[in-house]
Amino acid sequence: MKKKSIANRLSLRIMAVLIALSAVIMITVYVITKDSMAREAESRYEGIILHANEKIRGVLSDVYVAAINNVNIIERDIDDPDKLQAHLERMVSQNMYMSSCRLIFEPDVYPEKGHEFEICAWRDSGEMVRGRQMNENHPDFQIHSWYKDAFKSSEGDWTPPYFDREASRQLTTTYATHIHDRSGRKVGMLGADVSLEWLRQRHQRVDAENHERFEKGFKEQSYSFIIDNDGSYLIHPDESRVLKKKFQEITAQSPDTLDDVVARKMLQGESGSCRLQNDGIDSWMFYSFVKYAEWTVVIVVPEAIIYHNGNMLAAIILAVLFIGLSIVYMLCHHFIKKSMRPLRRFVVAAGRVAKGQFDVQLPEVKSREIDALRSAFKDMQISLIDYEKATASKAAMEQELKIASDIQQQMLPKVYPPFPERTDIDIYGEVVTAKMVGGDLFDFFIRNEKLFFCIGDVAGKGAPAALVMAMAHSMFRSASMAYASPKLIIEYINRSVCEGNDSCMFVTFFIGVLDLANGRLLYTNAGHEPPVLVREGYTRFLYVDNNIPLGLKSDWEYTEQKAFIDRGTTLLLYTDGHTEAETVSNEQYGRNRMRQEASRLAHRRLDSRSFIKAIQQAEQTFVGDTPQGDDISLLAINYKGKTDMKHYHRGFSLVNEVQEVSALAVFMRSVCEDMHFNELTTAGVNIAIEEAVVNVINYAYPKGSRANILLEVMADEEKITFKLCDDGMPFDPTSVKNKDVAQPIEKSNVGGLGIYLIRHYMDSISYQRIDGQNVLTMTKNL
Amino acid sequence: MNAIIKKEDDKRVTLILDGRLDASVASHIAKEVEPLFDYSDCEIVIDCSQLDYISSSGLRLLMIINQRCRANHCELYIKGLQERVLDVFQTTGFVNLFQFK
Repeated sequence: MKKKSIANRLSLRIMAVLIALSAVIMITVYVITKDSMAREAESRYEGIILHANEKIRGVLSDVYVAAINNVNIIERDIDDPDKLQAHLERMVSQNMYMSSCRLIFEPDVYPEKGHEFEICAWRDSGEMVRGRQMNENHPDFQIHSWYKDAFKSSEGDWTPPYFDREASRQLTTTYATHIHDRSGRKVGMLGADVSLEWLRQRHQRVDAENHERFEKGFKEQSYSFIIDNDGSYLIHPDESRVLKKKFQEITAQSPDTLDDVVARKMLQGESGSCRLQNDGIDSWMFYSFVKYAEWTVVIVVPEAIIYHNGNMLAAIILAVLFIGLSIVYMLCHHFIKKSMRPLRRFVVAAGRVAKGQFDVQLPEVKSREIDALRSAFKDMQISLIDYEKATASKAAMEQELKIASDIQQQMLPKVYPPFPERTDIDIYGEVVTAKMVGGDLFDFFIRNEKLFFCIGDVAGKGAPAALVMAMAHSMFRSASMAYASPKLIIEYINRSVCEGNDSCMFVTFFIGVLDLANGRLLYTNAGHEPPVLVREGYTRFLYVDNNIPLGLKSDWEYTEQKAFIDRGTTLLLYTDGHTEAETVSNEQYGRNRMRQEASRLAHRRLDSRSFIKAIQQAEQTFVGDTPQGDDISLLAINYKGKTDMKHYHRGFSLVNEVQEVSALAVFMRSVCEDMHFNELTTAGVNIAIEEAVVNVINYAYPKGSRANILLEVMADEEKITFKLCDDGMPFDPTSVKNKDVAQPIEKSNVGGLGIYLIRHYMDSISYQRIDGQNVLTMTKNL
Repeated sequence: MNAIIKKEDDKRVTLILDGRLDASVASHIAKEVEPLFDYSDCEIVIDCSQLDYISSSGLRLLMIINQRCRANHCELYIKGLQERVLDVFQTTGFVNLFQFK
C-alpha cells in the first residue's frame, strides 16, 4: 500500500476535527434558526390574515355607521317619500364601499305610491350614482326569509352574503335596519349593500403578492379564503365553491379528523393556527374570526414555505462551511508541504551519503525540529567520515594479517604424510585458528634418525601472538639444529623470548626428541598440556614436570624427562583450545573426555590423520555449533617402530604407581611373544620384571612424588637384556642377601622374596648408579 | 582379576581366583577377600585353577589370608594350581606353607 504524505495525513486530521466541530455548530445553529425562521414566516401569514380581518371590520363598520346615521335623516323625512330618493343617492355617493342601498316599505305605508313602495340607489359601472323607484314590479323582498327574519328582529343586522342579481350582480352582504314612522311603528327596512368584490380582489391581490414575494418557485403555494358563520365559502380561489360549498363539508371528506376539529373551532368563532394535511400537502392553516361579520379569514400555507428560509439558511451555512473547509484543507496541505520541503532535500542528501559522498552540503533549514535533524545528520556525516577512515585502516590491517596468517601457515608442516618413505612413523597435525592469525604452533622434523617435535600456545591471539609464535617457531628450528636435548632447546628459546618481552607475553611449550630406533623419548614441558599416550588397552597422560612457560624467567632451569614410547603407541599433543572448547552452556570439553575418546579410538588402530579427524569430530559433536574463542591445535605422532630381531631394542616407561604394573604386563607379553617364550618362561620373566619394577615403585621415591621408570629391552641371538632405570634414591637390590626358601617364612615376612624371584628367573643381574640413576640390568640367556 | 567367595556348606568355603594376581591388583583383591575372615572353624579352599599369574605381591596376599584363617581356626587348602603358578610356589618355597588338595 502506498503511504500517505505527512501533509496529506496532517491536513486530513485537521479537516476531520474541523468538520466535526462545524457539524456541531451547524446543527445547533440550524435547530435554533429553523424554528425562529418558521416563527417569522408564521407571523407573516398571521399578519396577513389579521390585516384582512381589520380591513373587513373597517369596511363593514363604515357601512354600518353610514346606515345608522341615515336612518335618522330618513325618519325625519318619513312623511315626504319623494325626498327619500335623494338621501339614498347621497348615502351611496358618500360611502365608497357601499355598492347600493334601498328602502323597502311594508305594504300600504304610502297609499299614494301604491300597494308596494321601494326605492333604491346604486353605483353603476361608470361610478355614477343612480336611483330608481320600484312600486309593483320590485322583487318581492318581503316574502324572503332573510327579510322576514331581519324585520322581525328588534335590531339591525348584517344579512348572510348573497348574490345580488338585481343591482351590482356581485356577491353582496347587506346591513338591514328598521325604519320607524313618527309613532315609532316599524314601517320598513333600510338596506345598505356592500359588494364583496373588493374583498375578492383584495384576496386575489394578497395571494398574488404572497406568491410573488415569498413563494416563488414553489410548486405548492399559499391561498386564502373566507367562510361565514355557517361555514359557507364567501371568498375562495375556486369560485365554484362560493356560496355553494361549506368548509365543514370539505373537511369531512378528508380522512384526517384534525381539520374537522379546526372547522368546528372556526364555526365557534375562535382564532388560531394548526398544522394539517390539506389536499395531501403538509400545510399550516392560520385562521382569524371577524367580529360583527362573524366570518373567519383563513390562509393555508404549505409547510415547505414556512420552513423554506430555515432550510435555505442551513444550505447556505453548509455551502459556506464546505468552501471554508476546502480552503483550510488546501492551506494546511500547502503550509505543511512547504515546511516539509527540507525533508525532501535531506532525502536527496542521505541518498548521496549512501552512495559514499559523505561531505555532501546539507540544506539550510528554518524550523527547530528540522534543525535538530540537521545537526544529527551533520554528526552522522562526521562519524561516517571517521568510520570510513577506521574501516580503511582496519581493512589494510586485515589484509596484512591475512598475509601474516598465510606466512604463518606456511611455517607449519602442511604436507601429509610428511615422511612417505618411512614406515616407522606416521604424523598428522592440524591448527584451527580462532582469529585469522593464531598463537598456536607445532612443528616436527627428523635429524639423525631422531624426530624433533614441538607444540606451543602463545597466550593471547591475533597479530602479537602470531609474532611471538613465529619467533618461537624459528628459534625451535635453529636450536634443534644445534642441540639434541629438548632442555637445551627450550632454554635457548626461553632466553630469546624473554629478551625485550615487556608485554609479559608467554608461551606454553612442549618439545620432544624421539629416537626412532628404539622409541626413547626425551622431552621437556614448559607449562603445556600433558600429551596423551594412546595405546590399545593402555591410554594415559604422559607424566610431565611442572616447568614454567617460556618468556617469564630467562634463567629458569627446565627439567628434561625420559620415557619410552612403545611401538604402536600414538602420542597425542594438543593445545588447551581443544580441551577447553565450550558448549553454549559453558561446559568445557575437558581432558577427561578427550582421554576417554582417545582410549576408545585406540582399539580402532586408525592412521594419524583419521585419528585426529575423529578426535576433532568428538569435540565438535560435544560443543555443537558454538563458536570457539581459542585456537585449536592437534598433533598425533604414531610410532610404529621396527621389529629387527638382530638388533632387538624396545622400551617402556611407566609412572611409579602399582596400577601401572598391568600396563607393564601388556608390554611384557608382547616382548615374550617376540621372543617366542613358552608359558613358563613368559610367567617367569614377567615375575622377575614385575618384582624389580614394584621394588622401585615401593621404595625408590618418597611417598607422593611422581617419576618415570624406564624399562629398556635389548636382545640378540644369545640373550635378552632388561635395563631398568629410575632416578630415585640409590639402592642396590643385588646387595640384598639371598633368601633361604627352604626355611619356613615367618608371619607376613615375605621381604626379599622379590629379589629372590628375580635372581631365580634371570640368569644374571647387575646394578650400577649412573648419572644419578639406578640402573638394574637383568639378563636371560636364550 | 576377580576373587569370588562361594559358601559350599556350613563347614566349607571356596575362594575362586582368576586372572593375574600382580602388584597392580593386590590391594584391591585384599579388600575383596575380607569376608573370608568372618568364617571360623571351617575348611577354606582357594581354587586357583583359573589363576594365570602370581607375583610376590600375590604371594604376600595369600600369606595374609593364611595367617588370618588360621587365627580363625580354619583349615586352608589350595587347589588346581597351573604349572607356571606352581613354579612360583615351588621357587619361593610357598609349597611348604600351604596344604594342597
